[in-house]
Amino acid sequence: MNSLRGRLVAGILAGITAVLAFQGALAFAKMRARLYAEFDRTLLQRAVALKFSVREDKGRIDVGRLDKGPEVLGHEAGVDFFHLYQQDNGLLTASSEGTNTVLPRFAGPPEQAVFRDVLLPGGKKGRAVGLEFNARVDLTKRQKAERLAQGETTEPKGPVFQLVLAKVDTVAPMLAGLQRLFILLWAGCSVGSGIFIYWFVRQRLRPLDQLKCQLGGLRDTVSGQRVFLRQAPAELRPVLDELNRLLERVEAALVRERNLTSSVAHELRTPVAGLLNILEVALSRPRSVQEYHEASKESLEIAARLNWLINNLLSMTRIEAGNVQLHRHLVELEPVLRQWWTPFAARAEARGMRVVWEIEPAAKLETDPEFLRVVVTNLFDNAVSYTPEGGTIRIQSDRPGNILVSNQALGLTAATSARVFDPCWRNDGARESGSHHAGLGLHLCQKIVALLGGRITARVREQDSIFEVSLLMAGSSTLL
Amino acid sequence: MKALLIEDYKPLRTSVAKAIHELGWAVDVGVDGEEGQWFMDHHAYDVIILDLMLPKVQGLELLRHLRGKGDGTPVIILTAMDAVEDRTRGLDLGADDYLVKPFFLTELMARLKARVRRSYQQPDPTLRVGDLEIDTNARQVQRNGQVMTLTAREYALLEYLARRQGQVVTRTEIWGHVYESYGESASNVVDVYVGYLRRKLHQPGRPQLLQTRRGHGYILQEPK
Repeated sequence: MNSLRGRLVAGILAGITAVLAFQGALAFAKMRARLYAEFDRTLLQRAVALKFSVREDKGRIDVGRLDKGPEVLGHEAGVDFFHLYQQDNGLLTASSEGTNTVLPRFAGPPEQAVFRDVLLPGGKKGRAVGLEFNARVDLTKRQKAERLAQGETTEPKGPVFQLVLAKVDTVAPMLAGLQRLFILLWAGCSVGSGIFIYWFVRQRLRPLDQLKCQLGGLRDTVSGQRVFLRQAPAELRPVLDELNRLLERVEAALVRERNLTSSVAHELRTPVAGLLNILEVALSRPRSVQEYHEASKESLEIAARLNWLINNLLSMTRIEAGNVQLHRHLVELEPVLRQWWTPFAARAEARGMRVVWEIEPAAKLETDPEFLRVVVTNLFDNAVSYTPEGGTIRIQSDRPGNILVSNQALGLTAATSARVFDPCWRNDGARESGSHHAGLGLHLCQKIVALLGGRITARVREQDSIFEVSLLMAGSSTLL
Repeated sequence: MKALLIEDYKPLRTSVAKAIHELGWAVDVGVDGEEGQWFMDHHAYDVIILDLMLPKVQGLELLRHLRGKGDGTPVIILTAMDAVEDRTRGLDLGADDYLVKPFFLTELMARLKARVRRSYQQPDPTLRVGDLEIDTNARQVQRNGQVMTLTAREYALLEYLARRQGQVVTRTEIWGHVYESYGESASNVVDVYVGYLRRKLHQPGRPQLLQTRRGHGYILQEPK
């Protein structure tokens, strides 16, 4: 049974029915014992009363009322059957049925009654008492005096008799009725308890149903959703707290993902819209060669930018999917940095920028050059795009394993420099540069540098925005 | 007609502005939210084309600002986000239409024209003033079945006057709806173009449709 409700109901019901059954059996046993004790006491009283009617007078035995037959006895003394034995002579007298029926002959020590269950004529169950006694002897005063004179006791000592007295067992049918009543009561109580327990457990577990309803009602498009239960039981409160914390985390992740998706959608669709509209305008009517040339040039720039953006996005997707294998080898820093700078040199020159190189000629780095190239070219691209015309770009390596690219982009502050790696953050200056940067490049850089085992930071010094990449130096085991 | 375009992405901005201009409309261009807000606050437009992701002031903020001051100028939103909630948020804030990037300029232009037709309550794309017919789609004008050749400026002036036919239109209104805001303001420029237009519309034996209301402005209507 997998249902908590079912388990609770079954468990509690089993416990209650077991207790009821035990208590019932105990009560039944006590009542049985008490009823049989009462029955035996009455039987014994009859036996004692009859015992006193057996007399011995000068060798003559007088069985008294026992002679009157079972009908009279039954009526007078409430006895159904009897056998009276004289100890040495066998059966002395018996109820008429008793003579034809074998009542067990038994007796305990003198004057001590013994009780037994017996089978009576007609197959009825009965109860019998066996008693061994001395017949009563009536002594005259002279006889008593003679005995006293002879030094004997004056207590009469008649012949020894054994009396077996049986009575139909009227307790057993009563007990059978009682047993049926008890079983009916037990069954009724069990059913009643079951219904009550089911209702009770259902009531007590209602918070679980409410929780289920609330969880079922959560919508993935609505933010700020939390689960709340009025008068939540203490056991559920930690569960609710954990659920709400989980919802917060899920919501934050969804917001991040949504922002990233929006950002990516914006960054992909806007250039495509630009490309489409430039070509549409160009082809909408006959244009001059100059106009076609400008439209083609602009389209080419946008296509190149889209290509750059798509490559960045693909790299990011690969890294996030963990589908990346690094191929590290020793790289001489200065030649590769100069080689990677080449595509940007023309743009920097066209914008009148000054490029300052400060790299130790012997600087080497063990890294994956393909991934490092993505990082460095993103930094170069930002530098060329955002530095105002005539500004200075510095490409430095002031210590082993360290690359610094500084630009004079406007708008970056100490406060915003911490957010530049956020995938959804773009400096307003980035919007006006005309190159329409995606705002995802630095986020990608951060991911790649982390993958390479280093860290990337951004800071502002005077009018320079400095992006510093710190990687593990060749032969070194720590981050320098 | 005059539109305000607020878009931060230069290639898109210039191509859309060029297309609107070639439609015969005047167009003011805002490169960011702040500049867009300035144009909104200082000039009247027949339609505003608004990008949502803008530097300095976001597009939705601009929309809220515009509607907040009771300005009902039709607004068409340009958005790169195509989720239902992104699109409906703009419409809920009072935008009249939206286009998801990338879009075709022909579609944007058709929507601009539709918006203007609705604003001036002239559902027919062909405007008629007496025997004068202006086909706003083909940008062709003919009077009494005779096709006229108008310059872009003359056409723009005529279309605006035809949209407001039967009403006296001041020079300032003409200036505000036919010329870019950053141009040199000169009332005599309007007079000169009205003069050109009047001459071109004139046909011997036909009534003069474009009349001067001295001290008030001009009115295009069929004389009673």
